[in-house]
Amino acid sequence: VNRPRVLVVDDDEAMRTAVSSALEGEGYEVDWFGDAMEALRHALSEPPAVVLLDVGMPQLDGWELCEILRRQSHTREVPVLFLTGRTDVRDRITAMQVGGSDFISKPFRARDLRAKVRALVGGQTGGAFGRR
Amino acid sequence: VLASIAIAPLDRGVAAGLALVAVGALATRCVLSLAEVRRSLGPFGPPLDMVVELALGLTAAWLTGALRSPLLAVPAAGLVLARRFHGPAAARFLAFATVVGLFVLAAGSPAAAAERPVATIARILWPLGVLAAMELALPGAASPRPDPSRPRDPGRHLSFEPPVASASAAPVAPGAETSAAPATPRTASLAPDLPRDRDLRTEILHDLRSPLSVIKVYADLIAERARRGEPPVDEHLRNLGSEIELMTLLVEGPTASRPRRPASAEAAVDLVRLMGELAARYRETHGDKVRIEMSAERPRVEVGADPVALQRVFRNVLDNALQYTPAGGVVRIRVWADGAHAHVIVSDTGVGMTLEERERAFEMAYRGRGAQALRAGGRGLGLTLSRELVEAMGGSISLWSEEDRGSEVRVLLPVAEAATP
Repeated sequence: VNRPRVLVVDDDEAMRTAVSSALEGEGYEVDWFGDAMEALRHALSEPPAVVLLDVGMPQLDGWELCEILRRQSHTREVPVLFLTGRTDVRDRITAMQVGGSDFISKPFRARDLRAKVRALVGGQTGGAFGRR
Repeated sequence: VLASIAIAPLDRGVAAGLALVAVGALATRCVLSLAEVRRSLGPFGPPLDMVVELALGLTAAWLTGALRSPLLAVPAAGLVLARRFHGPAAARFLAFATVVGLFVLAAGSPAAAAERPVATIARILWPLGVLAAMELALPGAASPRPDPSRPRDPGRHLSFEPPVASASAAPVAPGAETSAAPATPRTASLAPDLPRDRDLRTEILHDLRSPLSVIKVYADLIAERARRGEPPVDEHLRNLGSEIELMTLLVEGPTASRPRRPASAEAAVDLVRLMGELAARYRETHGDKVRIEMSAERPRVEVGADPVALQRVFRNVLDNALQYTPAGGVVRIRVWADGAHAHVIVSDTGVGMTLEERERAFEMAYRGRGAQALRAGGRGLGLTLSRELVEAMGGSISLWSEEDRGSEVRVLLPVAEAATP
């Protein structure tokens, strides 16, 4: 059985491990990266079912990575869920501007994260922003 | 370089030298941007990158005689400016500096430029053309975008940044955009004007959100398993514990965990008993994998220290030893005293550390290659906290380690006053 692949990109290792633990039990195959450039290469070679993106990362931030994914034919339709510690409405707007599908603010609960991922993988309307 | 040579031929030797420099720069850029190379260079990557760039730039400037030209200040100023920005803005400044730098290299000295005015003007025009084309191609990357949520990396401007634009971004409700515009990260030229205390507060709050998220997720996972009547996963408990330690550290500061020193000798802690109990407890959980040996030079070694803090210190040390010791290995605990000091040595036959890892082991949040390779949880705070605690109790902690041979942590504490001979 092909399990939906989730790509988690966060430079905080504890966060990556926690998110992976929350999703692996739900039948997802989780690939995680702390380096956005490596994650980008991986996403382009094997487009995942959904990408979970931290915003503040060295080298390439989440907004930039999302914009690049949106420009590539392979990954244009892959839903992107932003995980961020920022709660400002401006960040929600930026998430939308760069082509994000949804946004979850830290601190979040495991069940909320799963619900958002499930909705995005299932192709339902992308949470707050709707389907692009 | 090629365009300049085409417009007005340079001396053949100089042109060949410049071409070699250009090829060298491209090759270095390609090699240094490989993920494997970046990983193996670690923190030395960005400075090495910069040294190579400077060396190539100076070679080119020397070849063309531009070293003597005052115009060399222009690309230098471009590079200085690039250090202040991130993302596409940095890429733009770097490109600007490179283009102007090429012009300077091609134009040579002002005297030479005056001799050949037409060629010089042509050389000025083509870099400007490149800049104009770049401006047209990058409509959305016009403003620098400093990100208050992350520390500035001085080497960042030298790494490749794919230029991205927001031209194709989804339309936004006009009202929302207007009200949000003044400080949105996309127009962050206004961000540096924000009051500093607000920046600091945002940063502190941001730092707290991540560990709090991790705590919530693990608490949920543990609660879900409990509801199904399943025992918690060790890794979840361990990661939850280290996030709580991190939160404590962030909220209270390092000195808040300062232990109390007991006032009287009766409150002294017997290290032989404490370490014996810990060894027994760890044998129950790890005994099938690793042999845990304990030896003491005398039946009691009493120290004047906070028992709770001591437990935390030695749990951290033993957790590390067990985490990095493969199955079949040995963890040895030795306790003794000489004069005014008690010694505890915890040694293991684990994966050990490299010189760099050993030097940085006590740094806050540093995680060595072993922790990363094992995908071990934790924040790299164990040894930092342990040192804080031991030093607050008047002791010291040191580390010896060799790659593939194991590690040894020595904790030295003052013996309890009544027990001092």
